[in-house]
Amino acid sequence: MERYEFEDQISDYIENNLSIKKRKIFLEYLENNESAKNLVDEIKNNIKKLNNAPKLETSLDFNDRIIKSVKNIKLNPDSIKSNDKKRLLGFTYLQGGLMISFIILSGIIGQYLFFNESRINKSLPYYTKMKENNIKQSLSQNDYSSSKKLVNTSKDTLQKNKKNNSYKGELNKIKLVNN
Amino acid sequence: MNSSNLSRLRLENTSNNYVYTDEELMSKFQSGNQNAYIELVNRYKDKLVNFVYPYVNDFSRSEDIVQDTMLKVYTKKHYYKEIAKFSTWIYTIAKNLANSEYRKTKRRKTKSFSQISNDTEMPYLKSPDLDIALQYENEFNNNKINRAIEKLPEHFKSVIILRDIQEISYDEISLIMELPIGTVKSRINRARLQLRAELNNIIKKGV
Repeated sequence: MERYEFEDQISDYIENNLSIKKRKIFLEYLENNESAKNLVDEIKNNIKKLNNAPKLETSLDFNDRIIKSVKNIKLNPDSIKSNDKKRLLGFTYLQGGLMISFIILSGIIGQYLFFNESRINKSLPYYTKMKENNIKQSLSQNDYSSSKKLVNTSKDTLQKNKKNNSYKGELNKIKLVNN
Repeated sequence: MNSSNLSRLRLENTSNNYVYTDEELMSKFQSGNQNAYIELVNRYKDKLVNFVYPYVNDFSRSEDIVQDTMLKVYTKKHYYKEIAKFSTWIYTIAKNLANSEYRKTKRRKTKSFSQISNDTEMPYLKSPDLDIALQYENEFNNNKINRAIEKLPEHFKSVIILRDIQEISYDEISLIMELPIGTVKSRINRARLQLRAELNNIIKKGV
């Protein structure tokens, strides 16, 4: 017999619910295992303690309170029925109202977001074309000359840089020859 | 309520064998006998307080739960059908009320259960025929057991209380807890093993 098998059968053994065959195996295990025997004894002892533990008693005015509540119910039977009525599919009206308003709100927000998104998607190409055209127009009308000037100046500076670089290279060569 | 009528219903012999069974009393109550209801209250109020107490760890709150249970029995008396045992029905009502109260307490988290167990002592009544030393020893042992029970998981706690304190049969526990009998048996066995481990821990810590 394995330990877990033994532990599973402790309650059945204590309460005499084991079959003769199983009981025999259980007893054999107990004889050969001192700790198992102690465990069974301890559990038996605990059950006894629980059985004999003094019990709680309700206070002396308990019955009076019950009778008072019963009288109240008799005088006002709607107090209990109204409690039952206040429930709708297991939810109070407040809970139900909150849930419904939440569902409606999320629906409205969802719809708004969905339609807005589709509107943006449709208007995007138009919007971008408009922007491009505006840029081209502004470039051609006002900034074309200035941009040309800019291009020319940049070409001049490039040429100057090239000249400078070639001059510096020649100077270096002369230095090397001298060395 | 007339006390002479009530005493007639309370007829019982010394070995706690009642003249009327719970089911008979319930059927009397269903047909309008208010004294039968009071007699049922007398039979179950203490048992239910002991059953409910470990859920809430507060005596007055467990009394309130038992009171609510009794009022439910009163208002929903026609829901009871004699196919089931009355004790199963009333314990199920008490268990459901205690469970919802336990959930509320858990949600509030005003005070942890470990704190409660340290702060409040079980208001057990002492037996008058025991001498003081023995009473203290018993009280000490009972406190240890109560603390060990409090440390058990909820699903172990209720079954062990029903079986080892209330001494209710496995079949009835299975009906009250709405669990298959095999599950009840294995839970009780596991609960006993864990209770023993918890008790050993408490003794080791010297609480």
